[in-house]
Amino acid sequence: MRVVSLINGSLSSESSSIYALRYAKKLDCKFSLLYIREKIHSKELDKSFENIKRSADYLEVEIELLILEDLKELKSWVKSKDVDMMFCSSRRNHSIFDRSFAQSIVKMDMKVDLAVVKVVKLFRANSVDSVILPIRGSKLSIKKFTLFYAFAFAYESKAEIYSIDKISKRELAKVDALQIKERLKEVIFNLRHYFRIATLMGFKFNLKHDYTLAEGEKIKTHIAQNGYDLMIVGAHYDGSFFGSHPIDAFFENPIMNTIYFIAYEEEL
Amino acid sequence: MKPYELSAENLLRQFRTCEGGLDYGEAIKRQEEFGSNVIEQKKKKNYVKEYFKQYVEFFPILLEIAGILAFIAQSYQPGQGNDVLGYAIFGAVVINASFTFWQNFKADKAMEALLKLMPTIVKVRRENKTLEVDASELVPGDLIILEEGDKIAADAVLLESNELYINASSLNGESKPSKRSLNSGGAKRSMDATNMVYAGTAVVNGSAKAVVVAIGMATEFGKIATLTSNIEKGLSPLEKEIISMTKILTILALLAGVVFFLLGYFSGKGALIAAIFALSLIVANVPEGLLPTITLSLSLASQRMAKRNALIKNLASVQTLGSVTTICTDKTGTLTKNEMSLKEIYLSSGERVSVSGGGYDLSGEFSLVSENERSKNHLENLLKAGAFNCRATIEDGKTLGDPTELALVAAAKKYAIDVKFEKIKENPFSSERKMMSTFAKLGDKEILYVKGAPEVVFLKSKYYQDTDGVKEFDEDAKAKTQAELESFQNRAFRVLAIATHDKDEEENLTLLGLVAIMDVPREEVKEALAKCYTAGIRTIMITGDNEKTAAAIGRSVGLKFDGVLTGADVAKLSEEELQETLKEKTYIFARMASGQKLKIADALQSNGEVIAMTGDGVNDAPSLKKADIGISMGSGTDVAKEASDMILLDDNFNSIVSAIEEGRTVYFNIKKFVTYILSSNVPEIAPYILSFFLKIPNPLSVIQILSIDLGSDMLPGLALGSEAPEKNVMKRAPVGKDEKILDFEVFKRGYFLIGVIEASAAMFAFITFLLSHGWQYGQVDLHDPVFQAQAMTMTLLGAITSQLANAWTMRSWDFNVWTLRWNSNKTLLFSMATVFAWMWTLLNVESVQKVFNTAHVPLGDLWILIPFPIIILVFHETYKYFRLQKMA
Repeated sequence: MRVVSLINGSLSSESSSIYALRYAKKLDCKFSLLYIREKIHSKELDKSFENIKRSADYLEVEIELLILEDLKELKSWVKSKDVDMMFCSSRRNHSIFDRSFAQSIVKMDMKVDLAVVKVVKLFRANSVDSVILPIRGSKLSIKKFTLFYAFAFAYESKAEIYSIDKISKRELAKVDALQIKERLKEVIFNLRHYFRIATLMGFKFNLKHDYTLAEGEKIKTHIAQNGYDLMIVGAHYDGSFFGSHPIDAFFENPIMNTIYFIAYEEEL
Repeated sequence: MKPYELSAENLLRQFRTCEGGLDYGEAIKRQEEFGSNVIEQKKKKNYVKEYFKQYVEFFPILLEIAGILAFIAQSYQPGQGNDVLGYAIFGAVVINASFTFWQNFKADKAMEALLKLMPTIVKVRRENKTLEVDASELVPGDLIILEEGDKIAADAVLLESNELYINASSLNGESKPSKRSLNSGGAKRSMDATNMVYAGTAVVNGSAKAVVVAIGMATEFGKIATLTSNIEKGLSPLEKEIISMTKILTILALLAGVVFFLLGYFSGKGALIAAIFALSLIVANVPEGLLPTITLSLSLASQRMAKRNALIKNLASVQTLGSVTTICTDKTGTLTKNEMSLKEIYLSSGERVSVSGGGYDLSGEFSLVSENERSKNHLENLLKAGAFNCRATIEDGKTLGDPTELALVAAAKKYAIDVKFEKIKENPFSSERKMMSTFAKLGDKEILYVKGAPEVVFLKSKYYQDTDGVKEFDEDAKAKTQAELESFQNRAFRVLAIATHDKDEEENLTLLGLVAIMDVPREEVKEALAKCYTAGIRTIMITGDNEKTAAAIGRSVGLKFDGVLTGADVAKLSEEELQETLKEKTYIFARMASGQKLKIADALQSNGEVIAMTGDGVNDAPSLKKADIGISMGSGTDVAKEASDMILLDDNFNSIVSAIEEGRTVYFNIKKFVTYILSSNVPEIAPYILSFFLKIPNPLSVIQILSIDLGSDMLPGLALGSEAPEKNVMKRAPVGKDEKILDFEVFKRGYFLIGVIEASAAMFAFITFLLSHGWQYGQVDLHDPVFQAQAMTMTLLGAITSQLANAWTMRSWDFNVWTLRWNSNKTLLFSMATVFAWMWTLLNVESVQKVFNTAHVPLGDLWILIPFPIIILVFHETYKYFRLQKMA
């Protein structure tokens, strides 16, 4: 199993690689840094590699630096190298006409789980005190939970699953304390297997539930109020550029570092 | 390591920058990578879209269908006035939509006020040059140059600092300038790091160079902006009420319409006649005037509240005030005067002196136990030392300067000390030295006056003034003075030590004594709090002050509390634990950090409480928005004012209580006029039903029904909305969440008691008029349009006169109306006079008669209208009497 982090010398890709490094260390995977020559900012790359190497040495993880000449080679390379998870940072300013590197990677539909990292706070990847995973109702895949769990465990940080249900203003007005409690009980029941896994692994996480009018805004408010260091958000390969893709909704103006997780869906 | 924990060298290396700053290419690349340094604003609402949404709600759609049906009926049966009905219904739809839009969609300007704190231009180092660039172009790694007066555009770690002080009140509410240094002070959070400066704050002194580490929404200021713009507020109790009322009344109207359509259709009257009849019933049942009446009533209430120093920004909040179960209030300025007052003095000779009077009022006395000259001189010297060593002034009642210094000046003036002296030199106060001294010439003597933190002044004192001269400040004297100091501190006084010297040197001082200063509680707060407790409202004090001060002030104003929780205690509690803590017990919250108010608001609301929360700082904006009623101070920041629902013009707690009283009054007044409006539905419906089943002419036209709903009912309804508070309004529990305006009692009184009498009045007037003019039962068609119009006029007048009596008796929900002053509600008297004038117009003005199908009725026939209003008055007063007895 191998964890790969794509780097291009930017500060964001450096932070993203540190997250990847921690993840690889926790899951005892091989770790590789990969850069695609066509995207390279050579002057900065050395500095970036140096910094990541320092962190890797501290964590006692071996790293290898791999080079691909062309982005087109990536898909076959991933297939040949038994890559389990690929990390990649994403820049803020992109559009339909100026697709970001991360967006290009997402669109390649590779047989690999993808973690697109949006960095807004630099040099926070080495110390994460709290991780949050927002979910809709009790929709939580084992893959997403595993990633969340791996990060919480890697950093020994506080962990929270934040479940939200979107309802109308009128429905929200009718919600009372009893209903909130009942819904929370229901969500706990639906996620009982995850609680059992967590207990078996000696890991604790909080579960909080809220009703909301607007999911994105509610999550941001919750984060601003409670000050988390890292958010993990789930998404799919089939997102579009026209608004339905959570990457756009959450990445527009994030207030904290966010990992946008796209799990590869195997055809069973 | 976090950026503020890095050394300057490491910081520059990690952010890949240098003393000369980033190069242009790198800055542009980073802008692409991290975006612009801007605070996100929510997309502005499309107000046109929002306005038209008001026309596609359930209630308006119902009315619109009714209006269309009226126009269809007009085309089948011209000349019946259905076109007028159609126009009237659409008029009501427009009015309702406009009122609802006006109430709900006001521009949220809190974010605009917040953005004013951000600079537009910043000084930055790029490629070894200092440039002025647009603040939005800042990127992580940029080197910014800060000078006195600059607003700060991003979160940054200091590289160089020259006596830098920033005003960080927008983030932490602390108005005192905060000194910055080059080390983080062991901070665990970036907000606590003393080597950081933050976006949205300003430089008040000094200069610095800093590396930008976070921009835009990732800054601490971005968090406040996120909380301010994204806080979700549910519907207000009134909005919920209106939805619930509209639903109930609409269902009733529809039900009546369907039932009578089916009855009409199957009794062979034909689909069209049955449909017009059903439509008339729907129109009669739908209270078209309800929403405008409620809105106008709230507007009137808000005007009354403005006179009581509470400026309402959101009309629905007026009624929410009536439901408030908990007030979360600040201490300084709200419960206290924000005027420090010298209350007690300890002379180093061992004497204690009490000082009467409060605030900066110059009247008051000094109670000195031993009235000997030496003690008097000692006291005078101490007061002089305090007052001369100050920058504050009180001239002609006008105060200028620090509140603690003002307390010293006021005390000296109270003792009639002439504060004229010649200042030679001043050694200013600093947080490091914790003391201040002034070297002055008084007559031909030169004296150094010193005041400061007791622990510092004690260390620098070698002597103390005793009754019989200066003595050494030895261990015994120190222990005695220390005991006095602790006694003052335990009673939450702010204590200063006063000393002198005959040379300009802050060593070997002679201690004169201690002064105990306190922010004086407002006199009226005690009474207002007592009123709150009687009214079932609990009050929670939330302050940044320490536990002792908070508890002492709480006790002195009569606040009931079970204990004091500090910000640190609150931080340890989970949301659920805090909810549980606040369920049964009331706490004072002391040493509260920024953002913790929001946690308390959340916990209380989760417990089902309706909360009013005060605040004045930028950092209070999220909690003001979150609270059911956010109350800002007139002296507060623009951001707080924009985020709040109500502004207290005088910062006074008493005004909150007055506003709550007004809110409760509005609730009961709405109940009164809803009952009043519902009552008239029965005399509007009954004639229709009777004419349907009995062989009588049509007693009332649809346009006449509308003339009641949108005409004669409106003004008295509004006047009931401005009725003065009832005597028990602050002696009952807050209006509960389950307590509905439209409850069984309203239906009982409106429909089944008064409504039935009113229907009898209308039919009595109609039938008696017909019979007295030779009509016989079974004669459905009167053949004489004037006679028909006269009879219908009598039905209409029967309903209107009954409603007048109803309005009068409805002035009090629980008590005998005759216990109220007859002229206390002048609006009602005016509205009744207007209705009388309207009745005269219906009887005598031809153009009006044409529109409303009325005709002149001889005076001799109008006696028929007299008995029923009297019956309503007597009946309702008797009903209230027995109800009150039963309740007692």
